[in-house]
Amino acid sequence: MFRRKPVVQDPGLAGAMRRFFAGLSEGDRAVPEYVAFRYGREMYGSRRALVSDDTARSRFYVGLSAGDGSLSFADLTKRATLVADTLLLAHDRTARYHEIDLQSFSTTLEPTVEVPYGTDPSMIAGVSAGQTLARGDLERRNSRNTAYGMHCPDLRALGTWLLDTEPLLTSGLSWYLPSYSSTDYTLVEGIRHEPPDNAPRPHPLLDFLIRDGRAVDASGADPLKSKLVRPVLHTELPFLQGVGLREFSRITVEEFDSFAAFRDFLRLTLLNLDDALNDVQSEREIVKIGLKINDEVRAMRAEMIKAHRRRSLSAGGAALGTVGTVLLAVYGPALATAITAIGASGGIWGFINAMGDGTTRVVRENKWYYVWALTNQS
Amino acid sequence: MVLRLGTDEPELMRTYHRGPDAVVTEEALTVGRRLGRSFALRDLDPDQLTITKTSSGNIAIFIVLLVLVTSVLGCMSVTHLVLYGNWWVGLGGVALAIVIFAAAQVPLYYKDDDIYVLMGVHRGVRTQLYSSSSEARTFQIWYAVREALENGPATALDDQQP
Repeated sequence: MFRRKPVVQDPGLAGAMRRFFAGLSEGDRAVPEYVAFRYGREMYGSRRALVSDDTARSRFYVGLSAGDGSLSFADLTKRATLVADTLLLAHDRTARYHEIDLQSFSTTLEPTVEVPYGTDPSMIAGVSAGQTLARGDLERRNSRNTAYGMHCPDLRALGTWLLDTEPLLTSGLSWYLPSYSSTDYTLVEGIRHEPPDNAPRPHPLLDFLIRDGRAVDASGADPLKSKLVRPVLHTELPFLQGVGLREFSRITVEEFDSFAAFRDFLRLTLLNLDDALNDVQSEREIVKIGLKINDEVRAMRAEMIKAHRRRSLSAGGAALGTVGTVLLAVYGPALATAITAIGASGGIWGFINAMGDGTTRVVRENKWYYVWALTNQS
Repeated sequence: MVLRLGTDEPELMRTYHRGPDAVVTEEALTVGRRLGRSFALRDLDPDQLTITKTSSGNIAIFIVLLVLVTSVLGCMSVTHLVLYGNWWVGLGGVALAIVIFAAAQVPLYYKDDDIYVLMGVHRGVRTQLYSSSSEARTFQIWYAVREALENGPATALDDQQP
């Protein structure tokens, strides 16, 4: 009956992303490489406003550079989103360079040069017979230019990532900052000439660089961020496996309350890891965290299946969203009675009991609901 | 199945893009509604591929014609009104001119006037390779040609790779 209020983590970022996606037509969306190109062009003007010092210094604002590609962009997004308020992803400057647009140009044509009126234009390279050249065209064909571009190994893959993560982007939970560089070149009669050493010039930023699947400090990252990001990147999280990025994004935004509760749980667990532990001990603790999550998920899935079998009556009226359809089937006082009869309590049973309370809001705010929803998609 | 350039032998080759008006394979860019014009990629300079935006000019002709028709109609109506005193013919003409002018705003509003042209240097000559009113489609062709140029044609050695 009532529409849920859209989730907004970072209003400025969410607004910019909404404007970007609103400007894409269906035809544009069908060409992911073009979506990435448009994104690069649109973010060029607003990137400084979006990366203000205040937001970047925020405790849970995490910036990751994809580095050597040892972790896929989708995997990085799914994992880092679980601990970050806002996740900023970028590509390394060693990635392929794609020129986007002109930044500035100045003509090399002498002001005194007359446009050769009456000259056969077909004599000029690239000009068809019958076509006339205005002075503006001649100036552009003979000019010194500075162009800007972005580093990205594959624009098509980036465009697909942007389209898949649209819900996360338009909620300000995640975004991509293109790594821009600029190049100089000269046009002589429309033919491009580049100076011999024309390596793209870099621009600064970001907390971590991903190398061999691990986060390496890129700009003296906050120790707190390190405690969250490093383990979450290599903890085994089976509930993320098999979940497409598009589904992950949709569920994260639709079940934001439950997601936020799970995020707090994960942050707390990771921050509780003792600093004094050596590498082997800390690896063991991380494995334990992964196992604990797996255990909760397994227990929940088993009980959901069991409860679902017991429940035969249909569920009408309530609205839990797409992923909640199975939960709907088990919702009701009969379930609470069944659970009480079994004598179970705590952990996942708190979640199942919450369903018995009759309020979908309580169910959807439980951290295990989010994990279950993801598992249900995989 | 694509014919290898310069041969009649059908041979499988990597296709980077296949659309109604352009096909990009590892060897050539073929464009046109009947895919009649082909550019061998080995003849293209990889550093000279650019997309330029131009105005089609059709919109300017459309506006001139529109103003001309409505002006002639308006003048004829006013003349009829002044010379012959047929006020209903005069007013009818003016009303018709207004209706035509207003109706013309609809196509004017929706008309996409920009043409995106993919330019390249083919055999040393700056050449128009492809054009479309869609920037996305032109970019798609540009990207496919660039990919094909960077990867180069498949060799026997590539086939042996695991």
